[in-house]
Amino acid sequence: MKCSSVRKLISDYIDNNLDSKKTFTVERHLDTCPDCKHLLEDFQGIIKDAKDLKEISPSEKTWLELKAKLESKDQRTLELKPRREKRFSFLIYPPKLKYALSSALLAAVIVVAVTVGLKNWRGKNVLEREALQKYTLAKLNEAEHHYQLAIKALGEALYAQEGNIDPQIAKVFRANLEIIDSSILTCRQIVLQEPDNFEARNYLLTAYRGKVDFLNGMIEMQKSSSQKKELKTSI
Amino acid sequence: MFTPTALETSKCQIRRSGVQFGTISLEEEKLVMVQQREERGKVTDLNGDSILKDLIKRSREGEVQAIEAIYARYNRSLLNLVFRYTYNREVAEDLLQDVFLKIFTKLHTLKNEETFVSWMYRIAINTCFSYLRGSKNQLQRTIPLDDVEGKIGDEASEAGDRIMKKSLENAIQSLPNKLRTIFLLHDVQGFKHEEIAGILRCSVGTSKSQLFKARMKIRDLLENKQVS
Repeated sequence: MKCSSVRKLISDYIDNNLDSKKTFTVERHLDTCPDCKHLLEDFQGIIKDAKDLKEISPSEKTWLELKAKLESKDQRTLELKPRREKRFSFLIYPPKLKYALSSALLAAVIVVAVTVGLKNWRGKNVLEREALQKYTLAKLNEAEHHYQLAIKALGEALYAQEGNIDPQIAKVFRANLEIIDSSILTCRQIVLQEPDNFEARNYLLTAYRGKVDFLNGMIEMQKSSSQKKELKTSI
Repeated sequence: MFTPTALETSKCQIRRSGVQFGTISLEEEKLVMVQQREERGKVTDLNGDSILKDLIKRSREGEVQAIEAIYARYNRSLLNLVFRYTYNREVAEDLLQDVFLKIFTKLHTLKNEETFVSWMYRIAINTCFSYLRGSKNQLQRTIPLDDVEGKIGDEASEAGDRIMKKSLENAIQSLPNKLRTIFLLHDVQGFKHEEIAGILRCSVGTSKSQLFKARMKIRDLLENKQVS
């Protein structure tokens, strides 16, 4: 074997990457060629010294500065949070799915509320019904008023931040809100026609509650979406 | 007797309590070095490394402890890689910060976590290349190795050995960037050609031929005493 051929194999020979046949050929050449033998020894010396080069360690300051940079407002890509603050897994669903789920949840709540309401209502006698009716109506009026105030405040907060939401998500949001609003409208019409109708009142309150939850969720999502947007611009 | 894992834990505890690293004995420091060198051979292979996979997942979620654990695991090897492009301790630490900043802020873009280590080293090398292309570097590259000598020289070794190592550092510094990268990854960091091919996105054959060229160049530099 020529020196040029051996030299091509010499790194693999050092790293034990040659099969036994090639190893034997290389070794036979090395026994008879001082130049290649010299090259081998030099390479082995370089490799040994390279492995023994002193390592350095980063200072504590490097980590602290890195951590501060990761935590800084300019690095919004990563919101550092302690382990305990891990959120529930459903919050990591894609926004569309999340709001589709919230609509489904709302419908389920309405159905359950009505069923339970009807059951309780039918179970009482006439006298009990009258006493309960007055008290409940007053409470329902009060609750309705609070829900309306809350919805007004949430609506204002939401529209103040309009523009931060992804257009596709905004579309889904509007569709879901329309469903809730139409439920509220239907319930209100019945309540206006029959003010003493507890079932309709229950419907209405549940729909209000659903809208409050939905708006709250939307505001939360808006916050995270605006944070992501800032983050993208910072990159 | 410390095990490497226990040692790392104790180092974390020391760090959290605000005590400097200097309080760790030389023996403990060596244990960490041994552990890290042992890890080099398997660094790009995540099969079975469920701990690292978990750390990556948690880091993606922004968990500080997981981020710190990944940093603690790779900071030394990455710093030593980066340092041998700059030969300036301060600059190397700044670059190390940049590298980890990129790693953690772009972790969500990593599609396959099996390639995390290759990806991380690729970021480090690209960061170094960007730095070397920068105009500032032209001055900093000429910094003599006097400041390096104190750090790389082993007090226990003989004077001749120190000179040899200093010469090797000088030779590495004189290597063209591509050859230097292969030499650092293979002979200093301990990567295999297959792993280097993954990091640099080249063929195994290229890695092998470049390594031969790098070793030959270093040999020439040392023999011809072109390096002081």
